Amino acid sequence: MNARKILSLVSVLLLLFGASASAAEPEVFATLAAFEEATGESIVTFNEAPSLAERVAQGELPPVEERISSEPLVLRPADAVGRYGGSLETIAVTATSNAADAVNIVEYGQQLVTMTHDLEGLTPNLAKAWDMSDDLTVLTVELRAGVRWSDGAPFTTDDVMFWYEDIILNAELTPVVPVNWAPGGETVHVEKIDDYTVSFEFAVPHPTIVSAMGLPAAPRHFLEEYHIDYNPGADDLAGERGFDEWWQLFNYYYQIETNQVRRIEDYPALSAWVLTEVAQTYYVYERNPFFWKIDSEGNQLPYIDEVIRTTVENDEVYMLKVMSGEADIAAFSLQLQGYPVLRRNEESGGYRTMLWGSIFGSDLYLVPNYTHKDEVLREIFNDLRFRQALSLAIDRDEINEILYFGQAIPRQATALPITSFYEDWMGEHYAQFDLDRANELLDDMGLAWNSDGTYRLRPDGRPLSVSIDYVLLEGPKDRLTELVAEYWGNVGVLATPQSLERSLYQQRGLANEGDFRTWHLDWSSDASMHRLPHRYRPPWHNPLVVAGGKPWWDWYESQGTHGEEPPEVIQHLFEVVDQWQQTGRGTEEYERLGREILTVNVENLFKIGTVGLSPKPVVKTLRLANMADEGIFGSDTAFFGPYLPEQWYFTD
Amino acid sequence: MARFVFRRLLTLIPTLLVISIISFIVIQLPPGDWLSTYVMQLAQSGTLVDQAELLALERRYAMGQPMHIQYFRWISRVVRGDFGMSFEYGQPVRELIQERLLLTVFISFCSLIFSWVVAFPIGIYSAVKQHSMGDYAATFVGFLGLSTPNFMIALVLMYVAMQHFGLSVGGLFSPEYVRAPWSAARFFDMLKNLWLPVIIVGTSGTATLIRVLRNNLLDELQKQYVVTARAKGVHAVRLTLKYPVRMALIPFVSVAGWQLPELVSGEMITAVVLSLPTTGPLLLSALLAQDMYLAGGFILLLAVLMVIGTLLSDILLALVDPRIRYE
Repeated sequence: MNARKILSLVSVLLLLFGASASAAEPEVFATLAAFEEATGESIVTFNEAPSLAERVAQGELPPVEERISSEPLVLRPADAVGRYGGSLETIAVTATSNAADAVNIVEYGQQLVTMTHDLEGLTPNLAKAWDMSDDLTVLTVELRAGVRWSDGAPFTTDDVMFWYEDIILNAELTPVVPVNWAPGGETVHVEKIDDYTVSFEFAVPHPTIVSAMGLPAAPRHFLEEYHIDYNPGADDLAGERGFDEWWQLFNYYYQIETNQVRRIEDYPALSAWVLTEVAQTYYVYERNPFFWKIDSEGNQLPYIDEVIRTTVENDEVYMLKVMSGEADIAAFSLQLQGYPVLRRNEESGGYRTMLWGSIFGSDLYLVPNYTHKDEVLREIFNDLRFRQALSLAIDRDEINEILYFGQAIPRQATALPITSFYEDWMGEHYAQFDLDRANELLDDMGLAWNSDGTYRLRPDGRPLSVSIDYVLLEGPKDRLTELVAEYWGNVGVLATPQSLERSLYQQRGLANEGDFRTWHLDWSSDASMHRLPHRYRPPWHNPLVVAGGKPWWDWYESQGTHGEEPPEVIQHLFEVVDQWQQTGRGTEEYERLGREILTVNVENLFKIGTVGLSPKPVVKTLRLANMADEGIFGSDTAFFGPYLPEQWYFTD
Repeated sequence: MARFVFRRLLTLIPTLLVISIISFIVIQLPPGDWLSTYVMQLAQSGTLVDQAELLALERRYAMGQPMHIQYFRWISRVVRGDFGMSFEYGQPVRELIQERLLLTVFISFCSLIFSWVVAFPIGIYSAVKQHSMGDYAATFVGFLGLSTPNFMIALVLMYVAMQHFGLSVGGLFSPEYVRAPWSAARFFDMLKNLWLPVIIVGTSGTATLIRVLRNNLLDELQKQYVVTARAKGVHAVRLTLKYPVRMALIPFVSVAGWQLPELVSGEMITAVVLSLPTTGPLLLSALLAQDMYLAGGFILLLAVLMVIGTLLSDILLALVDPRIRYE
């Protein structure tokens, strides 16, 4: 097969084969030319928001034709062409973190390539086309010509080269290159081909980079002043601003922290809305006059004037504000447990509550510490029969009824059913409630009951007792672990749930401490798992957080010089995962390896699951149009991003 | 008097230095640091986190260094008025605290006035008319106020305000005034939302005040000088206010200075529940996130206020009670 050329093909294919897709799907055309070719329609005049037209009249801005780039992306809105105006009110529980409704609404649009909301395909964005070489090592990206930063400066491959040469390759700014840009331990090589074409060359096959590259560029015109290579006085400049070194001031503008909110007003951006005001309790993002997307009638997007992010201090106030209709869109801090209250206040609040799909393969999964410092527990944890027994002892239907109104799905901790290599038996494996069988397995292991028959004893005669560590976030983990502990008590395993403060939880994980550790099972669909398979190999979580078996990871990462040598099956798992990550998605090999990874994980029950796929309440005001009624909400889909907020509008 | 004040001011310096060292150590005692909080924050929302990013941050914030070096870096800047950068906000600590200080002091001051205005008449009344119906009623309400946690009252009042009065909850302004510049209308809008926190913060203080005033006054009322004055026919109201009440106030004055740090941190829990843009929630989140410099700056500020408050108390006490001398 020749090099794959993906242009607007994605959207065209969607149109042709997406018979099951409802009519209310926005359609993306890579460029104006692609739109005209695909639809036979043509766009000759362009329109803009009244506030921008006014600024053009006053001579503050160039006319709209010059602002939308020479190759604007064309969006056919979901339901109707919208009207300009309004401000989108959102609420956030934290002032600093990206875990907020507004964030992916305003910032998602800045990626070169974006993912479709069904997690299946890729959409052109700032890149109008891209091309991956057959051996999956060279990615060539074609940028949209004539795009400008929100301050009017041109966006070209020079900005990409600045990011590469002066940020990634600068040891002060980037002491260690992120794995994503240095697969196989070797830093990417970036080459400028012309003003709008750039290529990325990797040492090993790196197919996941297309969906994971984000925006490998930085506003050169703005940042040069703070970079020592361009401005010898950068150190003095930093000193004046209270920093010790130039790179600290540089980093103040070019934030490396992906999760922190930008607090710098008018920093050049490429998104639909840009941050223009930072106040104590709210942020304002105003429309980007240079946004490079238009609708199918030639109107420059976005329709909505501004996005407001209001900060509150806790989930209760978030909830109260949503109930009183003060949020136009809300999801982040809503839990299924609050669904009845949300529904009750719909009429007075003027909103609608939808139930969206979840990305959690299991709302709570438990991992025993396979490398436990206590030899006796370690041996028990590494016995498959023990994990099978504990899984069978959990009454998942009861959990579902008590905590999820029966809306979740009792299942094993494994990938989402939409994953291409998922098979039904995986979700059902040892997910039945069978106390007799559980007791039988534990008896087989020789774990005898004590004389009173109240609990089982370890081989060394001490009571078999374990702790279940959890952090209380993302759902009712306190009540979930309590129920699990009760079920395990029924088969003679004394379990004590233990709520830990988040930093302590992390530190204990790194120190290889704790018996059972828990989390919610995200990163479990095709694209996300392929990019980051942390949930499917030791330590079954990010190695910086750890679920269980940290020394096994250390051994793998250090190529056998540190940590502990894992058993054969784990060594094999590490190998398969590495191989799989270098295999292009959609191939037979990809599915075979993916299936093998899931199979090894499920058959060995490395993670014990409870219930998963519990729906996520999403609230939108009745005035909001072109916004999907159904969807999936979670990090895998970048939250609201793929539902294309730039084409949402207010009906009044 | 001047010498007394001067001497006290001198002892301030070593006291504050010791406090700064202790608080710096205490802040760093919990396991992990801001980076571990950061990792967990990322993990919660499922965002990708990379070892490389952490190393860059660690270097940028000079976190790998030993504690005493970090302390000296910090304190030598504090002396020059630079409290450092908050890790979490990426903004200077001084700006962050300043932004919120004015409103905080205003709210605390209002609730202080509120509790005094309510507590003094009631306290005096229930002492003078001990065992009357009014005394029982005041005592009952006082105990209720003492025993109900502030955040509970806050949650209940907040729900009532939203459900029955249609008030916007959380914050100090109605949505239409949040972004407006200061004006008379905006100020009145703030007053409209202010009563809630003022009452909530004020209630527990009021209840304490009533109880203490009543007890102190009861002690005084039985003393011989009161009986004598009464026997000599001094007017009852004048007598009570001029002598026993003044005596009953002395224990108050000796702790009045402690209200000063309370002005900044006292309404913390209420402010978190009500989502007020005051210093309380900021201090709490700084401590939770182990945002070292922000938390350190706060604790230092509170310590300074505490020490100054104690000094003010001492001076006030000497003024109220002539029996106390500056030896």
